[in-house]
Amino acid sequence: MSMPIIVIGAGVGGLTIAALLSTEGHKVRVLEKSSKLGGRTASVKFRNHILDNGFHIMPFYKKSAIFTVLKKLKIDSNLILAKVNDIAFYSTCGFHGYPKGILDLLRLSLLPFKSRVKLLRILFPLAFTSLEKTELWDDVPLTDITKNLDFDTNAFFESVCMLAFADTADHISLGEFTRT
Amino acid sequence: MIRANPFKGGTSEFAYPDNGGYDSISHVLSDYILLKNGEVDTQQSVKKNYC
Repeated sequence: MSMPIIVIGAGVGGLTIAALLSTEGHKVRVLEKSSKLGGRTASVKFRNHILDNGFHIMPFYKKSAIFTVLKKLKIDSNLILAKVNDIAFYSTCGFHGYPKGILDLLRLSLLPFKSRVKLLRILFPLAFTSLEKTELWDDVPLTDITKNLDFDTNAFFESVCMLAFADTADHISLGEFTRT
Repeated sequence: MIRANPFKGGTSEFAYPDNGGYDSISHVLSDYILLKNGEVDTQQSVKKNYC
């Protein structure tokens, strides 16, 4: 019988490689130093809330590498995903529903009304731009359209970029932003 | 390429484990390893052995 393969660390990386080796028929043993699984993605419970300890945002989209692995192993359905309707932003004055579309932006209580109107003026034309045209904007930085905005309106773009790309707005192109 | 519908669904590609915490992904992977007769042991110490 072949020797087991030892994987050190039960973070997403270690468990992914161990799962892929298992599916190829190898016997694996994962050794983890801490009492929890997840490594840098380990979360903690605090006052009935689950707090992500390390990554607050992870590129875990349905086309991401980790999701592709879960699909390959046919275990993607074992992970129940949150619906956009369940997502909310939290500020000192409470929870604010995640805007699901352009019309929801008008109701987004997190932003002053003036900023919401400014956002609509910018986002509405972008939402109806053809894919071909957005590709022409791949070398145009997103900050070209956000650099002169007030703090609140600009904060919306920064939050969306962090949520969608796990990066700051100055690293995202206008084309990429428009397509997403 | 999936485009977000500006009126319904918004960022439709967004995915976050429903029961909270990205470590839910690790639990799903761990269950799979155990199912395949592998082992996942926590609170284990490993030392480097320099020859």
